[in-house]
Amino acid sequence: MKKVLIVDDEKMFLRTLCEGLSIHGKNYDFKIVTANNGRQAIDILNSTEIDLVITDLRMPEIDGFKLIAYISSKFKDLPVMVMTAYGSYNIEMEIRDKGILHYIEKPIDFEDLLKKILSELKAERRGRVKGMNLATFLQIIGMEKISYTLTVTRGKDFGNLYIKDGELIHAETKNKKGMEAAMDIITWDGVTIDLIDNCNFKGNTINMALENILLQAYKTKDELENRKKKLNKRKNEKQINLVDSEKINEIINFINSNYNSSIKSLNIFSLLDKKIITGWNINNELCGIYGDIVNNLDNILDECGFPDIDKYFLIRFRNDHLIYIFPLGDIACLIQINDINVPLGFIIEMFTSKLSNTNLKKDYQ
Amino acid sequence: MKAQKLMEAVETLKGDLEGSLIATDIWSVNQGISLAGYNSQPKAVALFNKVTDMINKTLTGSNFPELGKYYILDLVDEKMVVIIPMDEYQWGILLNSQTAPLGLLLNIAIPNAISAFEEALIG
Repeated sequence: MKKVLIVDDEKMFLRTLCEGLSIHGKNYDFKIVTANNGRQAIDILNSTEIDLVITDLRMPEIDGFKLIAYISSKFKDLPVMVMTAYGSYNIEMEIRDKGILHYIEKPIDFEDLLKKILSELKAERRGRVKGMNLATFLQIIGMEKISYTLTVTRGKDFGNLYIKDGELIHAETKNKKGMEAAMDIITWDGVTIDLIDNCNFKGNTINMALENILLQAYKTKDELENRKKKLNKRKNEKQINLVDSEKINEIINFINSNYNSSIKSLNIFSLLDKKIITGWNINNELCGIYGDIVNNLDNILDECGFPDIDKYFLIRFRNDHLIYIFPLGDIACLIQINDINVPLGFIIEMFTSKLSNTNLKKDYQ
Repeated sequence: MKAQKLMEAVETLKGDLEGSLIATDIWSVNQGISLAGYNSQPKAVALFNKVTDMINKTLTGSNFPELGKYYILDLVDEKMVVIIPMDEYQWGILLNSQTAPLGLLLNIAIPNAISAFEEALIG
């Protein structure tokens, strides 16, 4: 049977909540355990296996924030819900989908609380990422408008967040300060939080509402994750492409036998590590430089919502030499042409239509 | 630089490419703002200013030539972009790759555009 620990210093409220939930606990297979403050809760956590913690914030001895900080370091996977009188509907809507928001507004809507408990206990069974996220923790500090200095640790990284009356006024990591450091720290996962009462920073290097900082930080994180996904997609495609290198060699042989004097080099290389797969008169340095250019170009077009490169990228230099690049998923064909009289239309046609006749293009899609 | 000649250069390009031209802008690299154009695209101006800068920075210091006459990007959605860098200015041309014959583009439209561009810059 699952165990839900509810922590609140108002004994009457706690008893009412416990009695009400215990009735449903029999039907839904969970049991309520209670504590009157953070210290009692920590004792229970260390002696009993708990599946969900629901805590008030303002309590004597060890308050809810310190309890959450303790849980973040000792019980990283334990989901925590916070009972607060200062919920924010807008931000809840914005970040609920990310699975990082766990708070219940006071006065408690009993049905809503039961739903959230059942949802959290069910989510655990599905193997959802649990625990109190730093962004959620900051959000709650912001709602309660209190002052804290947080030391946030993630593996070897650590940083400080200085919060005064619920607003983030300064942040610092080893190499960054101000907003840049805040954006970095906020999106860390799997953190340990240490709390110091009061804000130990004088002045102000950040002038944005905490809610907005959180939303912006997560937007940035999403963008980075999208880029990673794209890169991973390319990595997954790599094997497929290498299998088809035989087809590519056919094209190389054809060009070599027909345009050997006009084409200075032909390189087929990986856009991931810039290593050459095949070609003739291959030029590693050239592929390194132009691999970077294609990858950066891809990122810039992506960031700005512009269409991706489709068939080719062509550069013509002052001496009329040309560089043709045909990006094909995670690989690219780079051709150096030193004769303007080469039938460019033919080369483009061959690389775009002949390659699409192989299985390459289909495999990318 | 003569603004009137820039406009004339744009008109020449429109004539060469006929219905294939979607938009074009001539802009100053420092400002990243269009000086002359047709169906002007400020976002694309800012974007390709950044792209050219990125390519230049990557090529600088390598043993390979820096950007010269032009570069062309064939994009999805049947679009093609031609960028002609010219000292402190750049000319960006967005066209329909399905209807613009590459031969016409490479051998007529772009050479005409480059010479009109040079003329306008000399004044």
